[in-house]
Amino acid sequence: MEIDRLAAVIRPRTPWEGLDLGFVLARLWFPALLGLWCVTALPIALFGGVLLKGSPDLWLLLVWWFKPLYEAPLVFWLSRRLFGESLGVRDLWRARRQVFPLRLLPNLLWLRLHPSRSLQFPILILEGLEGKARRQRQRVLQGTGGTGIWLTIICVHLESVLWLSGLLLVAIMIPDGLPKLDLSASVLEQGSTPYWVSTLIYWLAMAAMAPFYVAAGFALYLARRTELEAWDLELVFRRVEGAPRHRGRHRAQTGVVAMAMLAASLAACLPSPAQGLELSREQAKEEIEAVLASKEFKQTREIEIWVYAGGEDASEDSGALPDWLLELLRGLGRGGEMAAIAFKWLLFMAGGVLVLFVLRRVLRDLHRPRRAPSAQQEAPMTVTLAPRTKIELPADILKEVEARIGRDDLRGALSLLYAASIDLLQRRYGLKVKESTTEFECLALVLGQLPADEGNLMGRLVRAWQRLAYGHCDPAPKELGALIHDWRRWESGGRGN
Amino acid sequence: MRQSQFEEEQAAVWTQYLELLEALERSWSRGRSRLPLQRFPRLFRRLCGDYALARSRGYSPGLVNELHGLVHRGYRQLYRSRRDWLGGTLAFLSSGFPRTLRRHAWAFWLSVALFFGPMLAMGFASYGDSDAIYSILDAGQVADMEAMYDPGSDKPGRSLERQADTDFAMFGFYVMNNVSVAFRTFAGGIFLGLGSLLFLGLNGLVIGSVAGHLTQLGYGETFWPFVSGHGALELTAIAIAGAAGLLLAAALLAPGRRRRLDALRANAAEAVQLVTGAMIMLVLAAIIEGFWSASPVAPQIKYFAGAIWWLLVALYLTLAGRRGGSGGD
Repeated sequence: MEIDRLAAVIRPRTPWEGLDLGFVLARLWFPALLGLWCVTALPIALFGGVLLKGSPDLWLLLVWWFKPLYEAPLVFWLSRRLFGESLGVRDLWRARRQVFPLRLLPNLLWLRLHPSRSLQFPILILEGLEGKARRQRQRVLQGTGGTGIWLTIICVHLESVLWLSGLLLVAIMIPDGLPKLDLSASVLEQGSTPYWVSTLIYWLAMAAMAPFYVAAGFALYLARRTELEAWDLELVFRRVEGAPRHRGRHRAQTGVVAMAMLAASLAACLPSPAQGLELSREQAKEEIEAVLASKEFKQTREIEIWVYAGGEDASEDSGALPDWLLELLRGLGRGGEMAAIAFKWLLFMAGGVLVLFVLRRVLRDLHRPRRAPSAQQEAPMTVTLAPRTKIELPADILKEVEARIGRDDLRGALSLLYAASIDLLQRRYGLKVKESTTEFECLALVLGQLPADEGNLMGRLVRAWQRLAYGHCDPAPKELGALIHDWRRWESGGRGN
Repeated sequence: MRQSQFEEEQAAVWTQYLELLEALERSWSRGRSRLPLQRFPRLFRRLCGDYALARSRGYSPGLVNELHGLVHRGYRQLYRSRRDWLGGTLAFLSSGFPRTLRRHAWAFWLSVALFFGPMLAMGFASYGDSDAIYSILDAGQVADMEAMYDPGSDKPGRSLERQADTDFAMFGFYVMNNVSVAFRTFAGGIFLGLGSLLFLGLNGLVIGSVAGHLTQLGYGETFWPFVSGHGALELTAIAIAGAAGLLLAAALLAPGRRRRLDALRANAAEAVQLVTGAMIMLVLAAIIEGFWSASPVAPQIKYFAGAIWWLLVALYLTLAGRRGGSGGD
């Protein structure tokens, strides 16, 4: 296994993180996985449907029982895809001995209900172990946690959730005029059309969950093996060693789309409209009488309905409930009515209060003047150069600079010039400088906005300042003079220069 | 540094911090603004530093635990989630929702056309022809409708099974009914807008045909006062829900430069705002329908109230949130 070609990031993962990874993989490759699942699942579903037309329960059981058969090619495909090889149906058919090995048979028989089936599959199909060796390996891979079992439980619940929500979606979203889906029939009455609809929705839920289940089990297997065999360390060692990388072959397109078949099988459930006939009036009457006389119309059915038995005195005969209970119930009824009246006024007031509040807010917003656009900020006359030192800039910068040069305080002079430049840039060009901006960052910000000669000036100033401050190299007097001269010109140049 | 010396030096800062912390823990959001909150981050940083020092220098467990507790409480105060529910809701209702609707005015007007168009057409048709309603509803449903608005019944506007229900129970029924209709209209938009079209059209036809049929039957004196109160809010809310559904459809059919999924996500955020606003309007409509519409007030007053509601809804949707004002978008 060339672990340096793995598409996922290899690092030590807890089992639950492994499940996460599995779900991410399934999301990423969902269309291919679903298509592959349908390739094996659809024939069995259709075959079962033809065989067991009358009982949806048995059909569902059959389809559910053969789940390991559908999941085997998925594991195989995932294992290859994770290393960069994208297999098509043909490649899988060629490798069918490996995809559907004979060792799979126990999984279809007595091992079908294994609680952590998803973890078993990589061992069975990819590692090719069976019997005692497989059990031992499974024990090793399962470790101390029961995450595989949790995965099965979670996926079963998610299937139920998907089934129920699919059923309710169909039931709720049908518009009012059309025949509604009878929800109770869909769960209780065997063999009726709503029951078949609900069974099909469950099959769809199984189809949707299968890629996630398989991918999560596979990722769990990967995580465990990474932990046991220290794949992440091995990768680092290989990189250090400089192992040559093999280029994967050109990816084949996976072209499995079976959605049309699904839609067709769903459409087959809808009834077809009846055809009309042309008859004369007497013929029609005879036909109607003959039809009405047939045995289908002679059925009897028992229905129970409630009928109002009369006034207050009728309750004496019932005697089923003791008097005190009747009084209690009547009292509760009256209390309920009073509660309803109370709630009614409460709601009225709450609604009124809400409307009033909203109205007040709306009127207040309408009367508030439009927010003025934020005025141009005046740059502060104090500039923070180093953290926690503030420099007061004098009114006439250049006089102070020359005074400092006269005092032989070159450092102070250059720092003042630099600070004054930053201040000028902030005021004139709206340069935004934070405390943490370095000199070169300032320069980079500036060069984009200034014309060429001023950018040149700033560059020279920054470099001279840096040489002095960090390199302790004094600038030459000629250079300093040139800087001051150009700076004077720049300052007096004004806006837009 | 010895521990006692350390404690002495830092005692002042710790006391300040503790005072501020306890004041924060006790106060509501109103009182908080009066506290010197700008000092808190600096004090918190000081305390974290002292805690780290105490641990690394190996001071007594009592001191370390005490500082740990202070740091923990300060952290919770610093990273509190501030949720102003009332203000947020009011801001949404007063400006966020109307602004979102105006931003997608095209969807709203299209939805209005799809809803009111069939309604008015069918209304006039069934007013003129007494049998036209049977092309939309079956005989049982029409009979139920007629029984509901029969001038002779005790409580007009209620079906036969619900004559004994309290007003509050009717309110619950109306909420469930209206909100489910609005939600279906919205959710139908995901089916490329065909669901929304269908629901808007169907509901419009049904409402229009019932209105026209009852009026030509002579039940107009019970029907129109009943619906005038809540009609403005309810019909507009259904149109808004339809607009939300059309937004979803627009994301799927005309995503522009974005991927369809991204367009759906962006439009869904706006559509949900519209649906929420529509739901609130429907609850309000249910309050009016349950408590006001069925009450024995003179029809003129009800018509007047209905006109006021129409005016209010129109003004609200056009004008609310226009100027700068608070955000809430």
